[in-house]
Amino acid sequence: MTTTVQAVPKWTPTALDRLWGRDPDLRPALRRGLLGTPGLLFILVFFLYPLFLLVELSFQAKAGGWSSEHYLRIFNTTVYAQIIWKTAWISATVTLLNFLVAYPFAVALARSKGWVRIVLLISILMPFWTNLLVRAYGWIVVLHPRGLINTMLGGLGLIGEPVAIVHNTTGVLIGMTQIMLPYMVLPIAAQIEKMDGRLLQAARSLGASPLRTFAHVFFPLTLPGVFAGALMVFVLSLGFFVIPALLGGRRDILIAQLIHFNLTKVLNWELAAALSTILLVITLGIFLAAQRWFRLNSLWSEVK
Amino acid sequence: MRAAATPQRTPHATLGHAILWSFVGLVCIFLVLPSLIVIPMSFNEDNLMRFPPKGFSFIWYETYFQRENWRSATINSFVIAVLATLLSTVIGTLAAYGLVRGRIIFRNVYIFIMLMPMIVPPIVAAVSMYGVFAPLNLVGTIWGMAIAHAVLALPFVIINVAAVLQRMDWRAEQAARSLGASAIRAFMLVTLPLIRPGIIAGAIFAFITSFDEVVVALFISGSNAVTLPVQMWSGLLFEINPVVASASTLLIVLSAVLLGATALLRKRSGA
Amino acid sequence: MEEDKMGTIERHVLANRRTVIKGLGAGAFALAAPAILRSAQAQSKEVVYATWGGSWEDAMRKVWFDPFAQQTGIKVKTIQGPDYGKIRAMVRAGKTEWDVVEVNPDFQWVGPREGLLEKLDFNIIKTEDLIKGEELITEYSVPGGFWSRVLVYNTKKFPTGSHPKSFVEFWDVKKFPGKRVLYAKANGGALEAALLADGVHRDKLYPLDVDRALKSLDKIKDHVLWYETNAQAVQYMQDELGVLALMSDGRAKFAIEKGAPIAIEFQDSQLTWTSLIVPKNPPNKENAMRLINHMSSVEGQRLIGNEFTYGLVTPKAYALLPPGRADALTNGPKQQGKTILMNERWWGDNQPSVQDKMNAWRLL
Repeated sequence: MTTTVQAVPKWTPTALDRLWGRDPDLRPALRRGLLGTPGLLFILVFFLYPLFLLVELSFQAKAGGWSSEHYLRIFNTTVYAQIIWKTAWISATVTLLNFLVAYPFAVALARSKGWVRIVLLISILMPFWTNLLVRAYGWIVVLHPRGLINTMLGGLGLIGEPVAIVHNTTGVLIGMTQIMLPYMVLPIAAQIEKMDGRLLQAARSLGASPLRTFAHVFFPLTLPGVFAGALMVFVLSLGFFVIPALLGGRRDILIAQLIHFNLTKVLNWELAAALSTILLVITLGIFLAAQRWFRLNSLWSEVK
Repeated sequence: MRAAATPQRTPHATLGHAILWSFVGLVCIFLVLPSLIVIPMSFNEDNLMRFPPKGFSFIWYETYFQRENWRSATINSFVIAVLATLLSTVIGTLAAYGLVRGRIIFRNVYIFIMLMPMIVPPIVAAVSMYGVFAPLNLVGTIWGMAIAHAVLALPFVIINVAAVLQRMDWRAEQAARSLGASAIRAFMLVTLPLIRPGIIAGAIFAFITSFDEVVVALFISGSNAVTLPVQMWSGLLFEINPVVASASTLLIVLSAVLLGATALLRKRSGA
Repeated sequence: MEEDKMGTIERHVLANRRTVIKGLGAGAFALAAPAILRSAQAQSKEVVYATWGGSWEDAMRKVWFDPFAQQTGIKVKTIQGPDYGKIRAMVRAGKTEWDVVEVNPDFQWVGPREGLLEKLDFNIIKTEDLIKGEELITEYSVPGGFWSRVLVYNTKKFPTGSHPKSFVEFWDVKKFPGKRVLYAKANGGALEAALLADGVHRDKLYPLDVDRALKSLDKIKDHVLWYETNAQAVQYMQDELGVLALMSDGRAKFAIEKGAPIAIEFQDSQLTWTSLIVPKNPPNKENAMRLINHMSSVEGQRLIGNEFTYGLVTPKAYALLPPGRADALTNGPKQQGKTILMNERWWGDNQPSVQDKMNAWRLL
């Protein structure tokens, strides 16, 4: 790992006069900033404008003209609120599970070398690279009452009756946790790698127990990574659709399924747009609120 | 737990070590099992996906290579992924450079906008993009798909490139400038080679994003730019048969090769 | 996701046993071919057909599309996944890519309401041999094939004879323990089955008493595996995760052929169909109409009847099938009187609100 030399002065926007004023570095810096323009235009035309149209559609009455009827319908129908709540609950649980599974794994990944590291990286990136539907099917094979796990547990005499771990909320949680794990592991591992080992040594040499060192030095230093990961996992989980449909049971209806239904089955696009807008607002709201906790920049860190 | 920091291990630490590594082993299995279990099913003789598979045959691989729609979907997927990767890598590298090295007014807003494609639920993105792509005649074209996927991949490129840029030692570029190199020359000859690992990582993420994306593709691919995941989606929804498993197996092999290549590249570049 | 249908409208089989028609049908077809060929030359040479795909598509390609291309020079291009959302998006954007789409019948009412469908040209599409019924043929649609949802049981658990023979028994979890496999979609037949189980007479199902149906579903809700796609239902029964199912007859027959330990009870099977529609402003409108006519001709139906198990839409064609074949099709002679025709119009009008109710029930 290279120790970074902080050669770039951190820009702190102060007074407006500094913008065009005396700072000799500023004008080239602004010019360099313009390199972001193609990207901005690209996103504006092909992403933000479409989103804007979608939001607009959500305020159109079925009969034509402007209206908030779709939002009223959503807020006045208990089942929509329940589904939104269910979505948030599942996402939060997946985030928590992810944290518990990802943290030790990230520690191991950050500390690993050579082939062990490659094996860990392959494992962590594999979910990214297998088609979602195929993985969902793979999970069913693993989890179902006569699947791999139940057969193994039964064979070992650990269980009498097969355990119900798929086609219910457990199945959804397992499937989603696996899919989201990379998003949690990578930022945490990156934080650990960035960590200055001398801090830990200092703590130990000052007589702190391993546990105290972990709790007071190590863990706090990884928090930005934890927050970044948790945020990504929670926010991405909100939009999930295939996994709950295939691994879930009766109770597992999430908002994306509702959107899909209105979009493709009953063709109520205005309602689907309103639901999408709500999902969008929740997602973006959480993201902006999270800015108080950590800087977006911490997403920059990566595992090498 | 902290092997690097504490060379001598107490018995406690050894026990902790053992627990940690067995846990990590379990997590590895948890991560790869649902993908790998598909592999044996691709050699099924029967035409239902079942586990354990019945018999052993390459019939589904033959089917995969013989069927026109699977072949063209594979080709489309590659072409689209390459185009999307090129687009997003070029645009994203510029944006990341501007972000880290330059000053951008409303920086946080800018970052937020550029990362939005990663955050917005795919189904929302798909529906909204369709409304704009269709009048532009982009639906059902290779370029339309490439643009849509480039949008989705852009955040990954920016994140990867910005990460390297932030760790970079700028004195090399400054030295080049002070020796009289133009800004572009200095970037091309000094900065670019230094940030290459980040760009490559970003490009690989972009490629994978495109290659595995299904929700947006379902809408934008139309009838002429059907990709592999879309083909698999219809395969799985309408008829569960092991062609899907053999296609997946080929993808897993491809992914492993790509990932191995990345690991080697990173190792060699020493980043 | 109703890819399956099949069938045989037996009433009509019995009514039309004149095998003479066989010869007549084929002859007329041969006579008409040159005329079709001539007018085709002025037109585009393609027609895009959106289908549920799978072996159904293979069968269509063999007996309909390839011969159609030979006779008319019009190539049929197929697309898998006739998604309604895509139809809406294409039509609203003024970029319709599909010419003919097979859909669930509810869409023949939902589609026009949203202004998405083209009226069919009944000068080209001949309806005199088509099965009659006000729900079946509309300004915008003709039936493409019949299929049904049937009661399927695991034969290891419940050997034929001592298997559940009605939905009252399907609901009896004491006598027939094990998981029931039901469609999670509101119009997937579970509500109709629930009402039958609750003692509603089969002729008095519609308009559905949704609350009563859900209360009936309450009784077995801990014993149900819900499926989202028909392929899933096969998987559940194949893997013996479920012991009873309400699933498409085509899927069930396919699984039986593949050795799954299941059998079908046809009593109270729910008969429905696929509709052929043309989205607004299709790229090859005239070709679309001609393809539909080609498919729904008596000869076209006879050919598909030999190849696939969907119920035929021209009753006359049943008589032209080889002996015994009619029984393999949906609603074949032996299923006579056992089927219940789904009220798809009611579903076209009520699906959104019923789905809301069903979702609320599922979340409880």
